[in-house]
Amino acid sequence: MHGETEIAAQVIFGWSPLWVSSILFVATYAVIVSEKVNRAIVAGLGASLMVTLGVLNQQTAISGIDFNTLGLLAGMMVIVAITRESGVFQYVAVWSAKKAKASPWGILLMLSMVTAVFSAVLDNVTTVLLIAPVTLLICHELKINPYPFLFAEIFASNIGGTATLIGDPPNIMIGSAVGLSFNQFLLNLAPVTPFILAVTLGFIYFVWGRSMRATLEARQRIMSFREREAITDVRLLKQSLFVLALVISGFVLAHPLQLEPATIAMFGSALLLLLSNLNNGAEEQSERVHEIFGKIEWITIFFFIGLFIAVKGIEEAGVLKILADLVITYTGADLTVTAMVILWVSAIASAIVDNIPFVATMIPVIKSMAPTFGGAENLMPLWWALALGACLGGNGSLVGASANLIVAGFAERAGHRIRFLPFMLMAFPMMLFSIGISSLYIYFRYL
Amino acid sequence: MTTKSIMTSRLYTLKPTDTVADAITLMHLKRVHNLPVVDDKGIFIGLFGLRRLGHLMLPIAASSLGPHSISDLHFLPDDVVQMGDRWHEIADQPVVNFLEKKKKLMFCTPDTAFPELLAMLDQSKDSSLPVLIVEGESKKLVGMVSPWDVLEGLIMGRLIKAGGENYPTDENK
Repeated sequence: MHGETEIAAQVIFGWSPLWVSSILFVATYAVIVSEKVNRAIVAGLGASLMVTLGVLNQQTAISGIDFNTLGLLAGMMVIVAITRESGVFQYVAVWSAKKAKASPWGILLMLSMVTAVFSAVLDNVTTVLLIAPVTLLICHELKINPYPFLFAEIFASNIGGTATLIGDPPNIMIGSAVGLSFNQFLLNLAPVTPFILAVTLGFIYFVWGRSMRATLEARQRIMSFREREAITDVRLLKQSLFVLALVISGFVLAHPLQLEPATIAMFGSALLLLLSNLNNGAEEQSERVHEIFGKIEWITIFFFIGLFIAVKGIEEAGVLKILADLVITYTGADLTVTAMVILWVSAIASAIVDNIPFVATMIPVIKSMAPTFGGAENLMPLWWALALGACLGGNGSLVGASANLIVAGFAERAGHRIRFLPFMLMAFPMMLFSIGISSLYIYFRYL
Repeated sequence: MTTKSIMTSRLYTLKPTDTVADAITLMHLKRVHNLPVVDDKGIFIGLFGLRRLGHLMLPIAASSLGPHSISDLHFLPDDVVQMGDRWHEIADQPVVNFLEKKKKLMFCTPDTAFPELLAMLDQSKDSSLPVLIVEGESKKLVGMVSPWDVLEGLIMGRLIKAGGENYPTDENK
């Protein structure tokens, strides 16, 4: 078996690997965009065809998978799945609403900031899964339309996610592929995000916020919520917060410790599983662990695996090198122009299609530009442009990010449908504005 | 021994246009927990039960967001005002807006055998099952069956009698 995999890949019937891999990749992409077939199935099929048609041999295919991204995602998913059972997220949401004295605009501000901070530390989908239901409950009690709240939370989750290495999958992928640390993301991306969030909330105030009203009686009801009662398991809460603090300190110190983020997240998840199972018997433990593992988003994980292999296919066949050369020819090998093109193209692409496949494709393209710009260390502005474009671009439409779709789904079930076009008419210009701010930031800081 | 021999065939039913308030009045008057909804031709449309009513009185964020509904409502005050508001919102709406999704609803036929019936009653979230005759796409309602019917069947000796018919006793010999 081992001997077979080591032989060089050879495309069946002697077809050109360039064409076979390109057609396969474009077809995979097209089916993912059509959303007719589950994305994990499409990516899995595309990846296996890359191998079975002979574009890649099995070893190269496996080497294309970025296990650091997978480990970080899975580890954090486990930690969050356990932490949420303590009721801490509901506590924070209700607490923040009361801190705002239950005034509608105050609640919108507070919940947006909570969403942004949680999204920076957890993934965006998880954050909105936790915050949006409480938001709907609060709006229902206040008898006000939840639309502006949910709109603000969509933006806050994508903006908050931009700020850190672990906030959004594109950052995880970029960080892992290029070897950028948690601190580098924090120092380079976090400074611009509060400003973008503030401007976004300014827009929302101008459009909706200034006319928001709730009766005193309704506000009194919110004030009578007992947030402390939301904490259902104090022991689990302490354990979870301890492990979360440990993991985040681990990310900050990862570089001197020479540890990959995936190692830290995996360690954290194993530690929290251990702590939360200390008092359980063998049978109960396996039930609990099985239940928690069931909450890992396997569709996302397998989507990544398939995608990494598919991208490896076009990379090995030389397609991405051609693409990179094309970009450089059009931008005249000018770093400023290239950075701006990457920023704006990623933003617009990410508003229309899933940003994960886009970033997976762009990473090797940008990597191969290193010789043109005089070495890998000079590519930094391009990485930040890609991260800002891909993460913030998700705000451009309802399908731009998974978190947007989750919020829209909740809104529809609660009888307040978020429609595609009206959302985009507001969101797309606001997203472009945030990319404008990012352009200035990148230009003045790096170019 | 099949469902037919123990089911209740004298039924209280709702029309799709009946309101939630009508349904609750009838349930209270007749002391029943579940009412089948049928059209003019007796074709079964769905089941409206007391369980559904409790669900409807909850805040939307706690009942309608599927698996992500807020399940822990410890932090809400003991306040009946919102529940009352919610009741006013739904009382005048037709029951047909609030039926359990067809995919989730369990039902049996007059020929459903006893062991299968018991298993279904055990699994069903509603406390009684509609008994339907399926003809192609349409399902005609012919009865309702609940654990009470099973118990009555036993007390009336039907089960024992049926047992007697199946297994030859000394007398039969």
